[in-house]
Amino acid sequence: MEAPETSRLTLLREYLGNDPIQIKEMVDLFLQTFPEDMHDLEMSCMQQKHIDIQKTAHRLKSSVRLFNVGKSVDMILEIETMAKNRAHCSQILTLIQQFKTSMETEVEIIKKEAQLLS
Amino acid sequence: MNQLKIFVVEDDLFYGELLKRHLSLNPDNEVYLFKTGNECLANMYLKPDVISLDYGLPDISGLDVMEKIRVDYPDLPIIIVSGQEDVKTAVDLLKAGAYDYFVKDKNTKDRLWNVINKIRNHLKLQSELNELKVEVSKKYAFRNIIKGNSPAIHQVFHLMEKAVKSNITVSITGETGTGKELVAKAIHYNSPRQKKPFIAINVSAIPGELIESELFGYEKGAFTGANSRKIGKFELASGGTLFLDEIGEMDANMQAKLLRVIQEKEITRIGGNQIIKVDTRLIVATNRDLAREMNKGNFREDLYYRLLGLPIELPPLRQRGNDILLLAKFFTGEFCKQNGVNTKEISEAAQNKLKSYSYPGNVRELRSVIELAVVMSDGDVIDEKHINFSASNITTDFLLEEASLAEYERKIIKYYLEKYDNNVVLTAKKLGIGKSTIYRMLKNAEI
Repeated sequence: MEAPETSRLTLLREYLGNDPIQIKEMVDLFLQTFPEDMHDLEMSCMQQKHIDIQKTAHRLKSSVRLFNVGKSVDMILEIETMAKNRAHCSQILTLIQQFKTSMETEVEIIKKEAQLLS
Repeated sequence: MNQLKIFVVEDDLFYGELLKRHLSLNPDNEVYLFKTGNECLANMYLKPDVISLDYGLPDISGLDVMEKIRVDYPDLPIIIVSGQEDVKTAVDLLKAGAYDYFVKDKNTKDRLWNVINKIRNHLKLQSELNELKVEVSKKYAFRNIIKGNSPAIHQVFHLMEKAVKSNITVSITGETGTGKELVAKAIHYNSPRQKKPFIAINVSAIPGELIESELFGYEKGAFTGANSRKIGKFELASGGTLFLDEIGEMDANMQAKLLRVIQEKEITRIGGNQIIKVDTRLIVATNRDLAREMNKGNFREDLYYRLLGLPIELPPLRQRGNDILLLAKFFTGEFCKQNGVNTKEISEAAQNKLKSYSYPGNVRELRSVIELAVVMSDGDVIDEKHINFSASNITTDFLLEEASLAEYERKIIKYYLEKYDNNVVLTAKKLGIGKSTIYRMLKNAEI
């Protein structure tokens, strides 16, 4: 079945030569690594480790960008900038929570699209 | 080259795996993924052809990784793929020797793919070039290009071996056709300079007013017609060898300039101010007696001694005894192979005829004689009747023809033109006539 125009998997298709098996494997890898990264992000924030927040956000943004999740990309970019500028951790944590919620919705869409791959 | 070995160094496991899989779509790529800079450094023994390096690594920065790699692999292409959208970082990395730098965005995939393909093509060409250089070196191995067992030629080999082990200027003398340029090439391609250019220039073939620009080059606008900068032969041959053939024909003005370059090891392009250092080995050749030219005041004494360096005198073929037959057999085999016929024998009578001739054109003449003989003989044997010495016929039968003076003139000019490879300037100089005379006769199809 053809994926919709606004597919979250468009970029993965391009990267992987439209190979459904490889796309599914990469989605699985994302679903496995993303919660770990989110956990690191929250922990670093609670421990007020701005450098670690910045590093994790920096790393995450490359992956997140690959799923066409515009609003969430803006959020992770903002988290990185706030950490770089040593903003108050409570403010950063609020944004992290918003990012997490937004991504939970996105992850469900990604999972559904991956299931539809033939 | 077969597979291109690529290291992807990326701390984001997901992104790194994606790049690895993407690049692996080309079956000619062999991709390795490392999560840290130290992991990459520890695996350098695998000898990657190219590295895609994330700038922001958890253990050491991309810049530090690159600098460490540069110590042992100065030419290895390293592409920095970074999340940093910072121009200064990019400039610093490119200055530090990065092959390319790009930010992780939606174009990363295509840019990385393209740059990797560009590197693959470059490495392929480099590999082909290296193979060709090895082939050329083999081709110019002394005994592959200069055939002979006579004591005179062994002495030449001995001197050539001395020449390849040093940077000394070599002066080669010998009659026309003795192989002066081949000896110069053999010295170059067997010396440590073999991977740099060998540039040959025949001084007598270039009009006096052009020789300076040929040797030193010129800047745009240096003179009328200088529409763009031209790099001279000295500069082109820097690191390699410049072979100046017929050096005895160089005029006094140019001799002074050449002397300065040899002393200072630097040149200035015509019309330019920039002093350019050159590391060019000189090999010169002449069929004139330069010492006599020096005594007559035609050649500068100081330049003579600068150029003399290691003198190698190539013996004329008539003084090389059995080398005549050895060469004749070699050329016979070569021409038979080229013409796709069975190797021909040389009869005893033909051998005697070959040995009794004086060869004013030396090896070049013998080669032509054998080429003709191979064509003229129908069977498997080259006989006496197939051996024709055209130059000899011209000189010995010359007066028997009872031709007119104009006819003799045409014959003489034609003979010299053939002897000097249709070089009108040189022929005119040798005969003491104006080159326009020869051009006119050529135009009128008189010769």
